[in-house]
Amino acid sequence: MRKKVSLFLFLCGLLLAILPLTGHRSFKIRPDNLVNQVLDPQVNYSVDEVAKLIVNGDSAIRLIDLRPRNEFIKAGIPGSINVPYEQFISEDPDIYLNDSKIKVILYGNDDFNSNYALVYCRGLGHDNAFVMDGGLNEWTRTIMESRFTGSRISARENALFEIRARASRIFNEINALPDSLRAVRLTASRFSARKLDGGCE
Amino acid sequence: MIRLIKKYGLVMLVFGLVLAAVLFRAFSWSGFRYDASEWAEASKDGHNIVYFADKEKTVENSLTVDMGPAYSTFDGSSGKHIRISPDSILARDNFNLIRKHKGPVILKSSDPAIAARVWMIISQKGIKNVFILRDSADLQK
Amino acid sequence: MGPLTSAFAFSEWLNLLTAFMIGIGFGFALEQAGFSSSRKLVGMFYGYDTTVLKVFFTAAIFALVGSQILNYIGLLNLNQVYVNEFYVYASIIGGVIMGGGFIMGGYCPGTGLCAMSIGKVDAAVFIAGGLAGAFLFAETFPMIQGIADSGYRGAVRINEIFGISPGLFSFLLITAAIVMFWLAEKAEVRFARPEITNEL
Repeated sequence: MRKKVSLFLFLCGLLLAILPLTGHRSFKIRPDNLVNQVLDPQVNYSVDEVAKLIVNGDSAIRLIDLRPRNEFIKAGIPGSINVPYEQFISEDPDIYLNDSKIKVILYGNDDFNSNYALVYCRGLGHDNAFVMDGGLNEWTRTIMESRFTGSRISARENALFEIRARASRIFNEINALPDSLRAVRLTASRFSARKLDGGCE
Repeated sequence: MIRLIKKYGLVMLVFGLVLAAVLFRAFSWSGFRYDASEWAEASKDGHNIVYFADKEKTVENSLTVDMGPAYSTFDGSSGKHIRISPDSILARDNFNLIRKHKGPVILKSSDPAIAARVWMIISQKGIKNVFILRDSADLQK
Repeated sequence: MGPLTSAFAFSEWLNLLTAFMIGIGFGFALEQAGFSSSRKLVGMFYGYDTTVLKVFFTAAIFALVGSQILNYIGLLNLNQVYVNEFYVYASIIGGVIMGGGFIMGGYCPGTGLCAMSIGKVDAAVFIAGGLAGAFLFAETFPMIQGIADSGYRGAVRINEIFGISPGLFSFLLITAAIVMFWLAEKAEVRFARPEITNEL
């Protein structure tokens, strides 16, 4: 028995010595499934949709900022956590995506890193990864610099611009705070924003 | 030999199952390579980007894959040009064109998100010489 | 419970029940292997009974091989497995105390609980001593914190220190284990003692 167990373990050891074992993993879904998933428009969140989630204080989302740390410190979308793209790809993204009930929305300055990361996460089997279209550049153009230039505003447009205005206000308030106070301010704002919610949408 | 098999048959059987599982994973039908992080390496520092202004200088013998959605007319640059829609990028004939091309493969799309996603998928299937064509005007946005 | 919990989204009670069942299995296996006998346990140090080495080392190697292969296949994510943080001096001092306590008391904490569960008085006293030692550590921690926290090396794996792949390290460890088992068999013959269990 001892010889058999020793032989089995020795053979397994040989096999392990040959295998290219690293700490990293590989894509595990079928390629055609992955293509269908990442080309499905449902993986995209527009900046207006993200703004609405932030204003409503939705706790079922997690925003991940893939930009370098020094850029995140200057300004970031409220509630987001910073994981620079190089770190995100090098580490196991499981730690950020392991709760399938939380939707993780990735963004960078533009569309490149966030979409690389989207495919990376979806390939590893995390179907709760999404991407914000256009990144922070689009956020700045659409939310922060939002101006209505028509003569009459419909109820729908009014609701849209109100969301943008509130999101813009939250963005400026949060990013003006020191880091230690940002998280506290967000938690408090979730309660006050909900009370003011209402009107036509 | 038969005595050896009788004596160590169970060990060989169990080890055979383990080996089969490992080989199945190694040559998985998924076709994605082991260690996703390694195959995404080029995206970390932008080495997978080719700027339009530099394209002529840096990419001889290239294959440009135009994925739309707004297909551009042929721009007169050198190398081969083909049109493939993103959802059929992994169709056998299309993928073989990319895989068997000897020089660099340049992905072009009017939507940078599409180009980025397709780049990652193709890279994870083990194709190394793939780049994304980016208009330097994008950088101003 | 590791891959089961994440793969099947176990609820809390099912998670705890699984842990309980695995614990029962572990205790059963320990008792079956004879590890509630302090003579068998200290035989490792005197050389006349190397069962402890063979059983525990074999179990560890099966766990090593199994976890590596499951990680490769994709059924287990080793990045999510907790790795203890390594404090050099605390490990050395704690190891000396643990080894001394093991050979004097005849039990380690796990086997002590196993022996206590079958009614052994010495095991019950050993466990009481262990709990007292833990209490004493907690109460005196401010005084010994300096040395307890010194020599911090982080959550390192041995293969990382040697700069070799996990697979190669596993192969070397297995080879070392087989050599040690062979030497252990030689030692058992060399340091053999008459079996007195039936006379007690």
